[in-house]
Amino acid sequence: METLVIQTLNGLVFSMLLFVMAAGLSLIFGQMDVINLAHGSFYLLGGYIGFTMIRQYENYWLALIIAPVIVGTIGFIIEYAILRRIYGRHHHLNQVLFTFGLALVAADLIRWNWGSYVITVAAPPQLQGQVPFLGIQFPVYRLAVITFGLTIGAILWIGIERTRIGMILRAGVSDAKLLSGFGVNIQLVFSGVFAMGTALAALAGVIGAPIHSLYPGLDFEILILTLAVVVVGGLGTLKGAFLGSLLIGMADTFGKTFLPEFALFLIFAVMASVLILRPSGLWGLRGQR
Amino acid sequence: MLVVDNIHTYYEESHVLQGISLQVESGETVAILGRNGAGKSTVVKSIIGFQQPRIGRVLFSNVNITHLPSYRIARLGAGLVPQGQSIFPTLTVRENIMLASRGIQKGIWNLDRVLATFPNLGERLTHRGCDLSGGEQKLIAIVRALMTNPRMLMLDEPSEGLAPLIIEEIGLIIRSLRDQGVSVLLVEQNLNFAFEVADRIYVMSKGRIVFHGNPEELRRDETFLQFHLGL
Ligand SMILES: Nc1ncnc2c1ncn2[C@@H]1O[C@H](COP(=O)(O)OP(=O)(O)OP(=O)(O)O)[C@@H](O)[C@H]1O
Ligand SMILES: [Mg+2]
Repeated sequence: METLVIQTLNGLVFSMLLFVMAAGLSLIFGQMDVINLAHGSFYLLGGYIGFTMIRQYENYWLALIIAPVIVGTIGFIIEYAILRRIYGRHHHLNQVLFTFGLALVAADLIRWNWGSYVITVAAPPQLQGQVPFLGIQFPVYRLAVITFGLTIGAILWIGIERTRIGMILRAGVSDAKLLSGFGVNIQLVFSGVFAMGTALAALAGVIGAPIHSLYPGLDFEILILTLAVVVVGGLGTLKGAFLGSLLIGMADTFGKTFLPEFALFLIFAVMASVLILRPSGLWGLRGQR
Repeated sequence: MLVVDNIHTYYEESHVLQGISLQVESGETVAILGRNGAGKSTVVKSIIGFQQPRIGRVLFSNVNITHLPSYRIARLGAGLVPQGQSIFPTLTVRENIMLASRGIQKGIWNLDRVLATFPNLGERLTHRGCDLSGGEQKLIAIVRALMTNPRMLMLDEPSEGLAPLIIEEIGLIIRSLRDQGVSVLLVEQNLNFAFEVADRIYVMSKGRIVFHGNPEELRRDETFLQFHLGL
């Protein structure tokens, strides 16, 4: 029983991290039709930059703000300088090659700058220790991550459903080019969306560092699970990202606890079944593109 | 208002517009006719910047817009009602309309005026775009373009697939735009509709202009109509 509660909570924690990742990936895909294979690299880069800031200034909260800003700026520049040249259907292969190449380069740069050993990051002092929760002792930081993920989700939801920018983004999922015919600077929207998506990945990196540590290779581990989330949940909707994250986060956590050898297999089994039953994902934009 | 000067537009290597020149004066309604695949929509896309010409120039209110991004062309006062279903299906009617409003931009069109002019839209404001009939969708696409307060409105086959009553309503809108001094560039295959509303007509065939004149001249030339427009 205790294991069940603990693993459910752990599953929720991991789901929230995946959700912040998947929201960014899905946002980018929804507008520009690009699957960003460097998304896991932005997670790791965010985590490492956060780690450096925490070491320098001993302030987790500063890292939580600055790392996404730095990584988001990098994202903005990448979109502005290169990615926007390869939008469109006949460039899908170029997009895959470019973002995957970016991931390889980022992996090397990270290894070169931060080394290849595992770096553990402490939770901020305010969130250390354990609290009794549903009859067990559970780390405060992990509970905070759940709250944090839900908060980000709520902010994104309000932003998308209730603001003018959100309205433009929802319209852009159907037809981004057409928007420019009504005076919307869609290029700027694209740069902003890519910056926002990468900043979300970096945010997840900073939040995740005290739980999963930082090490080379984590970028691709996270990327694969995030891709699983959007395949299962469906691309282009926040709801899909959220529910997909819960499914994959739980499957991964419980898989690793009860069937350690088959955890990844479990993920792929879930993915494959969804692909067979609902090719556009459980909560994706069915038949709209 | 609009000068299209010998433009050549391509899709990849396919040479679709082969030297199109046309003009629309202020307050004038001009129609482009032509069979399927003649290149009518490509003319519209070349003007709004969705498919930029490789050769030639497009001037709009004396600004060379040939290579401007679409949003700048729209902000200069070019309004667009694209061919087919173009409203955003997941957005509500209100959102579809407000999307094109640039807030403080001067002009006579705003939500209140839209609702006064098209009272039927009032009860539809919270419906999603995809839940509307074809006629309603077309009307909203027109209203959406009007919200940009265009100096020239381009309509790409607005009567396509619609019932006569709705076509009539669209005709009324076009006429009232002319009365307000708004230029209209109308792409059509419905000849009677075009004859009714247009001051001047261009006929396109295979990426070229094959006729230019007023509706009466064109109506008289039956062999020509038969040959280029399949009547
Ligand atoms: N996106 C595209 N890519 C490649 N070729 C295209 C594209 N759009 C149109 N074409 C081709 O360009 C030519 C002109 O097309 P266009 O859509 O301008 O014709 P149209 O006169 O608007 O026809 P319709 O009355 O059917 O709308 C056609 O041969 C068409 O096949
Ligand atoms: Mg057409």
